[in-house]
Amino acid sequence: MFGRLFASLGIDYLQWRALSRALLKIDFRVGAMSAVLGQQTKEKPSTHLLSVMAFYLFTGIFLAGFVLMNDDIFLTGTLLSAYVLLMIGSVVLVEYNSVVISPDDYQILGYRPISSRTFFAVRLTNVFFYVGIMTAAMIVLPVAAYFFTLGFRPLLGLAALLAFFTAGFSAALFMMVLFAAALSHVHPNRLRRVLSYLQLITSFAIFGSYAFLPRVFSEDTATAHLVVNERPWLLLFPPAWYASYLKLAVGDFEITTWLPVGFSLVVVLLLFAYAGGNLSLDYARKLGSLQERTEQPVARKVSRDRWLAGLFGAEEPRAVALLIRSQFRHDQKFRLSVLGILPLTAFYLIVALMSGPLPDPFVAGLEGFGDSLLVYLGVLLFPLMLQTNLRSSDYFQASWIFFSSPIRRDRLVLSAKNFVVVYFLLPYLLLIGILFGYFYTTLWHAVVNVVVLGLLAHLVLQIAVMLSPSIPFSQPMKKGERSAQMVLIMTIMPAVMLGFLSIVLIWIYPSAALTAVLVVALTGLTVGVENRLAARIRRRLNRLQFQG
Amino acid sequence: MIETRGLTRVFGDKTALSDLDLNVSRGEIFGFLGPNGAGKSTTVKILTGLLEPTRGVARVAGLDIVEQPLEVKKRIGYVPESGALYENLSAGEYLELVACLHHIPPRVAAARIDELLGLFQLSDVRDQRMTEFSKGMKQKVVLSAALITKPEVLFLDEPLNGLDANAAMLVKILLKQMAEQGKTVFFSSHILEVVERICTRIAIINEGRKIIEGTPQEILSETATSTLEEAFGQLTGVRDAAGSTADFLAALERA
Repeated sequence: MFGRLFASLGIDYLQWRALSRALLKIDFRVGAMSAVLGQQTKEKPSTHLLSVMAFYLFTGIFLAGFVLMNDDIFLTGTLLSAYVLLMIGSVVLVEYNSVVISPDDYQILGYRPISSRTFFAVRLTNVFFYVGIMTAAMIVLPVAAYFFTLGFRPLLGLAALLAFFTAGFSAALFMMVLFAAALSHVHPNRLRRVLSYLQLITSFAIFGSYAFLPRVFSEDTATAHLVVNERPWLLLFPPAWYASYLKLAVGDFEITTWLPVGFSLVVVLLLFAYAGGNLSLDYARKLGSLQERTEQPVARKVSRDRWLAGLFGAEEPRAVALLIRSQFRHDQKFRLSVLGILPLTAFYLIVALMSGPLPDPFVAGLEGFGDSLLVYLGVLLFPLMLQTNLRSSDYFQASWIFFSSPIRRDRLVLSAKNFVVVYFLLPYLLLIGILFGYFYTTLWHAVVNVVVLGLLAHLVLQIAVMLSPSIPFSQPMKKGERSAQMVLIMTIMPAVMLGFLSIVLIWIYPSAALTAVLVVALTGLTVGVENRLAARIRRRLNRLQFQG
Repeated sequence: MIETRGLTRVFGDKTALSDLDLNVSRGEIFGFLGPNGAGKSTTVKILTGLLEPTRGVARVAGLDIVEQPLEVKKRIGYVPESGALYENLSAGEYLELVACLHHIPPRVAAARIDELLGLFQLSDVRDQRMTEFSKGMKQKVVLSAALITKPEVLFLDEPLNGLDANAAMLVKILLKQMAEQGKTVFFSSHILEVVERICTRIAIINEGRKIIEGTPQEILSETATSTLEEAFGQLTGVRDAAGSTADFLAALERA
């Protein structure tokens, strides 16, 4: 029966089943390293994926509470749909190459008798599987709440289930279509640049929304109400389309309810049709050739190399600097991941500045800080995010060179951290130092604040390296890894950082003596940690082997 | 079985393959030689449906590779140069997957997998993930995956890469026997002795153009050389290898 159904859609059922099973099996197996060391021989689900799902389940508790507190199902539905759209959109964005499509597929499957339609169905199954389990983790508790929020209403719960799953799948399809369109319509010579811009824009839109979403789920919205008739612009707001499913479930059959529901379904069908026409094996081939494509050498190469040599001195740091620069130029995944972080940094800065002058913490303490805390979070979190992206690559097998060369591997690891400090942290500190200097009453306050933030950020990087040292780009890419890191860095870390910053702003900055002690302590700590770090890395690295 | 007319492939402003005409008959082992970057892999990729030609016609097993790519792919086996595999699968699982993609019934597939793994001495490791395999073991799996479909035409791009002497000998004998059974083998390699020994006809390409084609004896007599290695060097411009390497070593000492 399935065979005939699939055949009517132009899909080879046997191939679809075999490939879908194989790809999921591959995804769920632990990384190559564990197998090499014989630590894990049996299949087990990816820990990254499980940690992301655990986080979504945890946040679901609060979202379910929000649903139960507010009886305006359109409002809660709109906010929850926005949450699902953003989360799934960002997962597909950061995991794009491994979740949606892999250029390796073409090398392995390109000469097999698989039609584009079948390959599309396999990939869609794979993506929808991940989107499905992540969406399920996000919404299971809020959906349960919808069953009871207006008395026991099973239809409302089911409508919520349908709405949020449709939202999740639509977000994934939209992201897929966006990249497929770029690959289909842009000339290969411009493709790298266009994909980079696309990544910048989507990162800006998605990650930037993280800054807004927490403010939407405020105490005010817990008792607020949202009416489409009063705000017709809501029809242009995709989350409202999915929230309209809930209104239908409680008997609201107005045209303003039907219209968005119909629109959401039309959009899904259009996205599906477009993706079906473009997400083929040929698409994988283009993605593969994009990774192989090299840029023309620039005329300044030699002078830049000399400059790098002068800046980083010894062999290991220079090798790492050259490697990172080359990876950025030629490894599209790394390039896109970096380009996903930069706009986020800019966005946090812009949001902070839009809320008014940056308050001088030595004068105002924690009062009136509001969004300007985002600047502080940016300093502490984004270098860390960048550093985590330096760990893995599809070209991890090329790292044999570091395992077979007479060099100090601990220096390689430290050099990657120092690269982030020199190229990202210091310029960002300089920029906010200028802004602080402009807004603060005393220049010294700006200098001290920037120094404290810089030392803290460096300490965070050191701790990250200490916990998980890795030679740059020597780890294989694992599905769900970047999402897990993103969840950790974007949600849990800010809570820890804000707690520490509050202590500094409330109790330490008001006292000049305590501030001096803080600066000395942080300096001593970061110097001490740096001295211990190399030995610690050496011990940890002895357990690391070449994974190719 | 393999026929190309004016086959051309252009990458940007670089012509990788230019007006290639080939004709390989059933039961032939056709050696395809050329220096690095000559266009060998590009040719094989076009003939296996991995790349579209910019111009020209290519027919494999009587079918046009551009017009009927899936039908061609059902009839061919391919051992790619890179030997790409889903390494997180076991050898058994990977071969099962390939069998399934080619619609080989499960019972037949199981029998063939047993035979192939036995032939290449991989039976003991059939359930181990290929991440744990050596390069040679992976190459044996790639070869098995090419053979499991009983292809009419076999494309081999450096098939002996990483194989030990015993396995390499096994493959050479196997190819000869397959050719005797009427299968066509398209053999692209740098190992000239092997090509000279097992191929019935040879073509050498350089800078995307075919420069000579014939039996090994015809090529030797046309180039007035005694080995294929000498003929290859003469035709592809590698002259005075001893002088060049001596210069290099001297330069290395000076640096």
